[in-house]
Amino acid sequence: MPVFWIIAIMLALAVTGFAMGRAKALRSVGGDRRLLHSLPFYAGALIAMASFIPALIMLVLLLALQASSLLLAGATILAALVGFAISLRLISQDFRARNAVEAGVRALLIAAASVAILTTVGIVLSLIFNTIEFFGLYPASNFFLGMNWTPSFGGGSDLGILPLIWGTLYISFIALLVAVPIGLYAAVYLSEYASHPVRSIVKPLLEVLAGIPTIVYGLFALLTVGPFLMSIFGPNGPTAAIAENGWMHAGTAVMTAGLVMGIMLIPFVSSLSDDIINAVPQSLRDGSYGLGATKSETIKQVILPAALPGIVGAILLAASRAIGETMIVVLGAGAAARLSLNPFDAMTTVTAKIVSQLTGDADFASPEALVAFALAMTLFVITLCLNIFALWIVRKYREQYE
Amino acid sequence: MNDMTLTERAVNATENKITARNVQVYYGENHAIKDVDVDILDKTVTAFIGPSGCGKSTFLRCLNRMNDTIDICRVTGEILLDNEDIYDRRVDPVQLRAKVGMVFQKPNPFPKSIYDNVAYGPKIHGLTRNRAELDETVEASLRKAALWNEVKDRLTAPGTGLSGGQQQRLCIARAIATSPEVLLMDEPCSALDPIATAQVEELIDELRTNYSVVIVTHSMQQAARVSQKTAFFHLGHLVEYGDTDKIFTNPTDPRTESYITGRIG
Amino acid sequence: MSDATHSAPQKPAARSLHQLDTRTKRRNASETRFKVMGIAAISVGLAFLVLLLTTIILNGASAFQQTFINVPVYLDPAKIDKKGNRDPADLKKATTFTYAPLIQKGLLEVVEKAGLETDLSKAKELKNLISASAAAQVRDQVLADPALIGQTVDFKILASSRVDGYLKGRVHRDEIAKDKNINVAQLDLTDALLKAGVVHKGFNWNFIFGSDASDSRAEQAGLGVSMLGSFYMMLVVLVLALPIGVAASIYLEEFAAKNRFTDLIEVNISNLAAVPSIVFGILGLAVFISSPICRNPPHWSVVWC
Repeated sequence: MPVFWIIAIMLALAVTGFAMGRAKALRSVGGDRRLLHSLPFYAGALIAMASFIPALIMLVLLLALQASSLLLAGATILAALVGFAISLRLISQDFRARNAVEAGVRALLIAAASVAILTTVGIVLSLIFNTIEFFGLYPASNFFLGMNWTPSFGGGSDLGILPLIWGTLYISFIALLVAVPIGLYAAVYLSEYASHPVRSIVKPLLEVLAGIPTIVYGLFALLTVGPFLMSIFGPNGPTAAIAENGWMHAGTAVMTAGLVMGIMLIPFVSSLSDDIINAVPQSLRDGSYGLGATKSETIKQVILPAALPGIVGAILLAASRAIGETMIVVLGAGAAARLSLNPFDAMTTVTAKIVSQLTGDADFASPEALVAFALAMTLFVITLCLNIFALWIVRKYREQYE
Repeated sequence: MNDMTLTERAVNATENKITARNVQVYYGENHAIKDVDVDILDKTVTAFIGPSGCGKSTFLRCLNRMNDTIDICRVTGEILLDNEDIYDRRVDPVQLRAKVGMVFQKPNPFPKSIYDNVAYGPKIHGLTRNRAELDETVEASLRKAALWNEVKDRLTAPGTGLSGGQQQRLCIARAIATSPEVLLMDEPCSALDPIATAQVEELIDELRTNYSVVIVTHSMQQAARVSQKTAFFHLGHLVEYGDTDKIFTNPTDPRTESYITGRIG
Repeated sequence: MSDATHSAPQKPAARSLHQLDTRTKRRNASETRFKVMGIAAISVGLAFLVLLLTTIILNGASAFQQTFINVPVYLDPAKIDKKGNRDPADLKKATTFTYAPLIQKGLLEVVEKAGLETDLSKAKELKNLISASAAAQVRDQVLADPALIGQTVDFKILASSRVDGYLKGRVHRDEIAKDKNINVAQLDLTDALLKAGVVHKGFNWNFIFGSDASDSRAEQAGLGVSMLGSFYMMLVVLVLALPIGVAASIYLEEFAAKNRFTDLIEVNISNLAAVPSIVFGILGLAVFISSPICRNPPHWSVVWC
């Protein structure tokens, strides 16, 4: 029986159950609802829940296990009927239907909250299994310590992660170099100096930058920023006089991706910091002004230290965005994995290589494709550490000043 | 608490420190202070009393131009500090506030160490030439605020870790450290317990030897205990101003009498 | 307290408030510098926003305009309906290869009638002006209404992407030497046709509602199907994330006791928000390649009908 009809039957049972439960509760006291422990509504709701939810769980489980159509329909409807019958039997004058319904709702809410944990477990498990499989084909030491990244789908590739990590960190560093000063100064100006009308216009405008899809930033890097940087640092620009051929050899480079990513991160830093600075109590400002401090002295010596944990949190959040950013580096940073200090060289990142390894034609069981899982695992661990570090700083700071 | 003994010092200086004439304060459309004239003496504790919303705190904040930080606030009239108009265009509030310090209702130590809290003012105003002088200033200020003995072993501990009374005395030490000439206190004891209040009151009385102190208070007993001059504000008017003894024993205005006998307020 | 001799350095002799001392001047200058930095930061941010939006708009705006050619096409029965019975099944046998010459011929007639000077005298040489999709457009219309056969019908036909690009300034005369898809004579003719009003620009509705197109007829590309995909994606995400998210937050805020389990959930949720999206993509892929239902999905009709 098709799933659609199974669900329809479950719904019909639930609705019938609601009506019957309500009626039975009322009947048990001869229509005098004052004698009931719980309002008749709860008796109905209990039966509706008891017949629908276990059946729904059964349905999803069996679908995932690809049970046969007959088993699927039979088991699901049986579950619905059992839940229906048991709960209907329970209804009586003194039955605490309200408590039962509330316990049920609570269980549902806990389940929803636990989805986050399930997702994390899912990510970790799927990454671990595939990473182990990869390390069976390619030695882990070569992966973590290798200085070369030259995958060839014919086999015999060098899959060292170091050039990718270097590229990731270099690009993120440049992005933060752009975003943190601009974002912080903007936040300070908006929260401490700007008049209300200016603030109410500028803040949303800056936040528009955060709402632009990253692929658009990627195009911006590719079509505008890359050629612009080329015209200055390229073979025909002024730097050609210093270094032969200029510093930059292609529009895609660490600088291109880093700059554009920095622009994207400005509102992350500024919006969060602005909220945090606003949360610093006015009494601290008054205290500082009352001692004859100027506004900038108050900001630098009182407000920013007080807001520091939040600001560090905002910057770390921006950092983890930068490390995980994909589309900008795919389009703006180039594809060559290399260990170089020149910010005008093309480099590539962990994320960009995950994409290219999985979108290639490689067989899924080959190390060239499985390496993507090991890369993703590394990325996950890095962002996890960053997050835990951020929480730790915030907590430590709070303990100190509370 | 009335029988608390304070070493009453003779009022030995009678020169005017602050002279206010015809002061009006507006918050947008709201006329908060009306025609206030007052002379605040040097080396004297002056108390501002009155029911909530009478304008006493607003007037206090005019004396070091703290109202400047509120956009909609407008002050007219004349306030002279040592015969210089503090609302003159040439006056920088930053310089003014170094001379007229302020202590607030709620203790508000900065999220810094005890030492840095006190050193904050001297540092920004450049009052000391080297670290040794700064150490000296910090110690002297903490001693004056009667806090030195309690904190001398933990100067690097955060100021926010102190108790409420200690925090308020730290704020007073912080204000003293810039060597002001006038100290404004906006209900400095309202967040403190009776023992801490007694300590701060004793401190205020000692501060009188060096500074002109203006204190806003809700508690008439406190005004009677610590001040030599008292001003009674009501609905934005300065109703009566005179020697504290006279205000509390023999007020001339019926409104003052009603307030101190507890009929209004 | 008599020991508290205030031994702080003697304050300089009382100075008038009406004179700024040098230190205050310096502090005010630093204040101004700080403020200027703030304004500069905001200006830079807003300048980036303006730059980004202008580039997007300048690069993208021309997509909303498309070049069309008005061509009266004689739907020759001898070519389209060789059997002469107007039977739809037989009409379908005439492919787009049958229609393309008819359109080119129609265009050549337009050129001749208008008396335009051109070196191109054969219908085939006009092929590059017309979109490769034109034949399909005409064929579809004929199949929908066989009665049109034998008449001369006015069609509004898409110009090729080279012609479109030339009129939008994307294709330049001096760069087409090696381009097999257009030559200078064809561009000259385009100019002449534009003057004659045969070639004109119109709003590109197909861009908004159409579907993706192959590289060989870029002029036909549209976003409609992609937007529908994005919309479905949004819907699925909303249906999944909204109830679960709201329920989770209700639980955490209203019910949950402060214990390790709650802490774990909260750390988890904040961590999930920071996990790079590519890792979620990997999770999707891992589920996709490992779970039986996804490797061998049931036909949708089994599920819903």
